[in-house]
Amino acid sequence: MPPRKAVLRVLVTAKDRATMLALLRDQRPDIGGTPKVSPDGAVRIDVYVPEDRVEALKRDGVSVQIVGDQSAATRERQKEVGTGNRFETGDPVPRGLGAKIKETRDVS
Amino acid sequence: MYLNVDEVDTAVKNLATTYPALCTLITLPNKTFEMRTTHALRLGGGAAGSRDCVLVLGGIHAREWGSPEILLGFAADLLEAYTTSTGLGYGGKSFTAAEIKTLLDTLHLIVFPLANPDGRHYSQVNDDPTVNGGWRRNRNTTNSGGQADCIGVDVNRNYDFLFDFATAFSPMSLASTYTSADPCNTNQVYHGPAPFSEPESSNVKWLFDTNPRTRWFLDVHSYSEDILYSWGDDDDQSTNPAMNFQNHAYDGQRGLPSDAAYNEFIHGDDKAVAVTLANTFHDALQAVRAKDYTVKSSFQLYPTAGASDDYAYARHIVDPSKGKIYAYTIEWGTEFHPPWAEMANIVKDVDAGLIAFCLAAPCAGGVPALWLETPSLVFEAVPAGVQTTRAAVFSVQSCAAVDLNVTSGPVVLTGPGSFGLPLGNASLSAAPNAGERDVRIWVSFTGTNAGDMTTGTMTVHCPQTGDDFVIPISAHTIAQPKVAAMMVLDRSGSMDDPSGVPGQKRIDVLHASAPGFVALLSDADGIGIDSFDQDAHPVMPVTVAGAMGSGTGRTNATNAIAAHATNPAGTTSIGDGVELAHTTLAPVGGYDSKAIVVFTDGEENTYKYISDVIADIDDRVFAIGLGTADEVNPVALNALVNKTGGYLLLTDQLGPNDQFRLAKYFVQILAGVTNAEIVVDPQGVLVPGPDVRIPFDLNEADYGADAIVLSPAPGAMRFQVETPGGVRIDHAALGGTVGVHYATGVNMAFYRLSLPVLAGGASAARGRWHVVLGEGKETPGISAFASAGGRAIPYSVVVHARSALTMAAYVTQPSYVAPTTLHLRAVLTEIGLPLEGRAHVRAEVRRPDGTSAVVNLAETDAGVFEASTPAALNGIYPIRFRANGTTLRGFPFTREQTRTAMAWRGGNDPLPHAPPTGDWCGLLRCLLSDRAIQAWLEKHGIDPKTAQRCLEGACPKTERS
Repeated sequence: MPPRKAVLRVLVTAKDRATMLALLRDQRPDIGGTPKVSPDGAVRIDVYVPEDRVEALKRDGVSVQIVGDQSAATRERQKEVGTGNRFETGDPVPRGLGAKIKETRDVS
Repeated sequence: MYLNVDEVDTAVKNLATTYPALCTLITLPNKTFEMRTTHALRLGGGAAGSRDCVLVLGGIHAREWGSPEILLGFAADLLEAYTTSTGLGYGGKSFTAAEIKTLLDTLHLIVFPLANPDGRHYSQVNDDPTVNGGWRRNRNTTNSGGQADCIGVDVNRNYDFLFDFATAFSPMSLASTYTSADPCNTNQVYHGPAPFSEPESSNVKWLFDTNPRTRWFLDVHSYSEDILYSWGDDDDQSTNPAMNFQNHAYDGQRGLPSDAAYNEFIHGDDKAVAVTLANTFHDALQAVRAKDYTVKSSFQLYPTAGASDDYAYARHIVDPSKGKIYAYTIEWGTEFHPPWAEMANIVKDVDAGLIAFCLAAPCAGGVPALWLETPSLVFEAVPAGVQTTRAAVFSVQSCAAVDLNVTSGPVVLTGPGSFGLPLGNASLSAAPNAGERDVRIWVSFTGTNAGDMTTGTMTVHCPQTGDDFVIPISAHTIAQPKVAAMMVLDRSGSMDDPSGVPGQKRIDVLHASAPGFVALLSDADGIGIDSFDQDAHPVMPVTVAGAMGSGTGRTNATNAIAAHATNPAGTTSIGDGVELAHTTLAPVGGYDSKAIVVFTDGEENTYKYISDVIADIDDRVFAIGLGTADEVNPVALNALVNKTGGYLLLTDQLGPNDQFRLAKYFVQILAGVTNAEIVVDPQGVLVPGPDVRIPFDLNEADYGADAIVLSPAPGAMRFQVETPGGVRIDHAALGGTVGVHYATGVNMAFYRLSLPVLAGGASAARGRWHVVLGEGKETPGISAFASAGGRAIPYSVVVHARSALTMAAYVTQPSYVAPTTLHLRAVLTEIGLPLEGRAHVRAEVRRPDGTSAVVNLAETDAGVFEASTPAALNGIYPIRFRANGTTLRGFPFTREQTRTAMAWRGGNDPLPHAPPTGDWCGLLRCLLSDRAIQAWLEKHGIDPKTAQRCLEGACPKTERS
């Protein structure tokens, strides 16, 4: 089995919509979220590609910034997933994260 | 820590168990591919469907782990806060206990935290080298072909919205990059084999379908810190309604950013509401810890096809019976599964936004949203002299009161006539929620002269929004179809014979029934009268009928009928009468058609006979024969009406209960003369007690209608017309109505409706109307009713429609001597097109012996219905054709026509005609065709037919007309 290639999270910034459209149409990368457009017309978006495909993203009008190793990040995050069933073994009642604010009432 | 899928499901169930009075567990009907059952919660008391509903969805995309935690926290916080009467705080944003209570006391919140547990489980426990940013799809292996990297469907591409993306979108768009028909697509956006092929999307659809009061939908995803509103297939626009996802003319053009070729239509008020609520979400979220999410439409650089938000909002457009759902996609955070410490902060951010959204949603965030549904007003094809109305329709979404004031106009810019504001300005009162309401400003116009084109304008101002709407108006006047009708009335001596109706001679019955014909003519129609005995007598030239109830032609004709008197020594020359009518009509111009209506009670016995003039008659002739077939011997009359396109109705022997038959025949003949359609034609008796409600359907092909009541005491009853919307129109209080006129005549009263009618502040046209008859307690006529000691008042109701949906009815028969066969035929058309496959026609045939039969007519050709029925007996066969069906646009209609067929001894005899001078054969033929002479011969033992055969053997052949 060949060694597994890491999937990288890459921030791609194109100088304008047309350039970004052309890039996505050509490379068809997996993307994260929606594109963001800067006031100067530049468009940026996260893409997820194996490390050997990063070079293919580079072209005129496009800057590529490697954010991190998504494969590794996912493995780390999986350690933060609960095991067993905490609502069967512990407090059965789920609690939200909002603060419960007891209100006082003025008494005349 | 993040929840695993078992924990999510247990948490949902435990919330339902812990707060049974406040929430209900919903078990979704479709198990996942890995046989997991999913659950949702309905928060808020009361029965399912009893409140407007917010549906919040999470966990569709597997790798976006935090969404179920957000939704569980949302539900748990609300339930606990409500139960403990506390407020809720999220960083810098807080909600009072009263707000939480209001929310759960007035709305239903359906919270479906984890729709795709199979995918989430896979994403949380596997380190899959085949996917880039983490597992996105469900785990359906059906289409994978055994390849691990081809498993699963992107559930958020599996909804029924532009599912056929290859056809709908431009090939230059990114539609096929981020939606795919390839199960092995590496971006994990395979949309599945068909819409709703997946249990996860089917479950969401099920929630929509089973909670029809769902008005808001939020699909919680990650990431990019966005609050996205409709649409996702292209940029929005609010100027061109035709440019929409259902219009295939735009196939292949969708999905390109910032182009003019295609932008998806959204009503301006919908967009205002959508943006306002999104901003409410944004502001609350931002107050928590200053995160600045972006509010924008779902479409940015690439389009989506088959996404949940577009499907939800499109439902009411595809099927107007469904409620409108404002739909959003929330894209929380900046990565698919951030460290839990950050995720906990995001949970607070989004929960604050959700609560604020739900609090603001019922009143659309406080914004009065206004949309002009009718950017122009068009009065198309208004008949000259007819007043009609059109409405400028505004869609309003606001809890606050809204006023719409006409600040300019309506004023004519070009052409004749004037526009009016029959009801003035319009306003909406405050409401507890901002559900869409329509408000109308009515504009009236009266047709001027045929061919006129009038243009105008009107400006409407809304002080609450500051909007000004400039509305162009146009009106086109067409000629009102006009008919000139000549009544040809019998004054032979036999008109003094008893009619069969107790106490009434034949002439009395004529006096009581013929005026209805005159009263019901349109204002522009012409009416003339002549009479005949052995000669013809001009009575009244063709005169324009004039205004309902008072026009010169009507008044003169009514008086002439009343003055019509019998000549005791008079014989019967129908040919003379018809000929005079024809020559009277011939020079009269300005009418679209001409018709002759003959009334007679006996067979012709004096020159000129019909056969002597039939060749010259080119006007449509209708005829009413008072009496039996034997008495009228209508062989020539029948030939005349058949030749000219009219028809003959015979009353048969009238009896004590037949006082309306002749009047109804005149009304029926009027429909034939004026090309009106008979919608219904029932009769009955009115007794003290509940109102009688007689339904009748009008449809979009009808542009006017008359609702007519025939009765010996129409003033003794309360006669109203009820619109499909339940507004009662009463002639005693016609103020505020437009398009309604009321008139009375001899033994009749009627409403004339120009559709659409404006009544009770609402427009009424298509739909089920009612004639309502009741005790006339508030009318002067009640004394007559009361003095009758509660005795029943007979009535007959006839509804005529002026319509583009027509029924022509025909009866033909090979012989007029029994036994014979009646061939029945009806032809239905709508706007001139055959009404194919959308109607049923039956004929109620009453036989001379009093028995009856219902004959179903088969559709033998498009819109043509035919059947045959035997006629074994001599006598008259009244035949009532009744059609029902649906119009082109699927609305119900009815049509009725009455015809009479007849068979009698001598029905096939030669037509009587005058002998040429010195022609003894002709004279003898004439004498032997006289039925009195035939009777005399029979009485003296001479067979008349033998005598006729001898004559024909001795005389040369002659041609019959």
